Amino acid sequence: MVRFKLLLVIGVVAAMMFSVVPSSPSRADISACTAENRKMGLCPDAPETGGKANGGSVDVTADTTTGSSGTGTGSHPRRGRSASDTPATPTVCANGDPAKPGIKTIPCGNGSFLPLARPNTPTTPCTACSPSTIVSITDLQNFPAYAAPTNMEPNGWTIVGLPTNFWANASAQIQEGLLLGQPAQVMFTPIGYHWDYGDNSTTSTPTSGSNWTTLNLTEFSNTTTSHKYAAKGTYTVTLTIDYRADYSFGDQGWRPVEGIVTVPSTPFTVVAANESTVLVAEDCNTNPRGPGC
Amino acid sequence: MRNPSRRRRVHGFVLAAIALPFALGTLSGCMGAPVPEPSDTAARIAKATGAPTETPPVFASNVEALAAAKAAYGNYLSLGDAVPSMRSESWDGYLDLTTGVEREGLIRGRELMEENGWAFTGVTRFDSMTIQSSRALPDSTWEIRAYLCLDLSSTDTVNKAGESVVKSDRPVRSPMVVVFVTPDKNSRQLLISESPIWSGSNFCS
Repeated sequence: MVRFKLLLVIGVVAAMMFSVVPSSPSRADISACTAENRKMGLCPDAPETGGKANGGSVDVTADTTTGSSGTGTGSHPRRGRSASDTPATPTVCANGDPAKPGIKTIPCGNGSFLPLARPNTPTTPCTACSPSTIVSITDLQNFPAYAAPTNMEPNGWTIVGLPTNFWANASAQIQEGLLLGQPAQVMFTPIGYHWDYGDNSTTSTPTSGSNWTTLNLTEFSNTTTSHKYAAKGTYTVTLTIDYRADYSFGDQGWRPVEGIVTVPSTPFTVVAANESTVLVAEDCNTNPRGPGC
Repeated sequence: MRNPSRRRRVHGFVLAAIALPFALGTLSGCMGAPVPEPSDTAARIAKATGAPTETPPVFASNVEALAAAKAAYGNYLSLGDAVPSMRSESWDGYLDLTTGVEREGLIRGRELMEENGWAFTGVTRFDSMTIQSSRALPDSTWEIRAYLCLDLSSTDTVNKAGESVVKSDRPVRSPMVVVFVTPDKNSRQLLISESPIWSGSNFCS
């Protein structure tokens, strides 16, 4: 399975008071975090991240917010008050970010959502938003685990009543991508192998198995992943591997992903025949590589 | 918003630091005061000072570098608390403690602050400073990177009416990485060049 799916959801809220001079610096302009800017609540918080298994892949999310999402604070708060000195109500809640015309959603202060307005057009009044600029960005990326190759011996056929050996070439794999413009990785570690031999029998093993040569066994020996077919026929074998996943984002180190990632392999067929059928068909003198030779 | 290039530099550096598992033990032996232990692989790991043989070290040890960094940052925060505005006499001296990204961020923040008529109150503190690295740069100036906890528990930002303009639930202790540089190769003066929030595990909570 080769697929790479990128889902990106970006939400931006620019909540401004009418009284703000357009050329003045806004909270969104503050790119450098200094101690003073931190005191004013201008520094972006470290992104909140999460990883969750999603079938055969992992979704990693990161959320970051800049500016203040508090209420009753921000630019010229006194000007927002009426003569009776009631709490300030921002007259404009949000408009679109001219630099990001494709934005679809606007998380607003307390998590509510507002319709997106074009820049410089009237916007929805909102009592929940801070009058100060809020920039909230959510990024989600999907990291698929690739199916592991499967093997069997004899290759593609077997003899009824004798062990057929199956194994997988599975190992830990790392997928890389970008999240909020920063490097993100997901590491998949195989933890379980589930074989469906196609004759209504299954087995689960913690290891991938190996071939007879590596295991120092003779042909048609039993292994932890071998299987005996009881009747001749054509069977479809499917391996499903369970992976534990960990993700890393930026310099935050490896963190566990919630859930197990399950990846099915490409099914393959096995032809099981009776011993006489197989051995009569070939002669070890004329075909030394034939079955059983 | 974040500065991607600065972030990438920090990330690259942290990866390099993680590749030196012996460094933490080396450094902890140099520290005069106990420091919080890292809780995971992304936690603070110090990188041993590597002084090129052709460049005599400005700071002979991490202990010296730490003392200089503590003095420089303490002075910087104290002046920040004391400088009332960009028009005050002390502003230039305060600004001259910074360079690069920190300087730009300081100016932009103060512009916003003064436009809104805000003021700082209280005392800004820091603690738990440890050296991440101390090294000579290619131009022979010196760079010190240090972790610290910025403590805003005794500070506030208020408007002209004296009302707080910051979130009441803001984090009062923030893990930061502060980068100090010397203005020239023979100087021991440390200028603050950037101070991003540390995005790894929060060692200040």
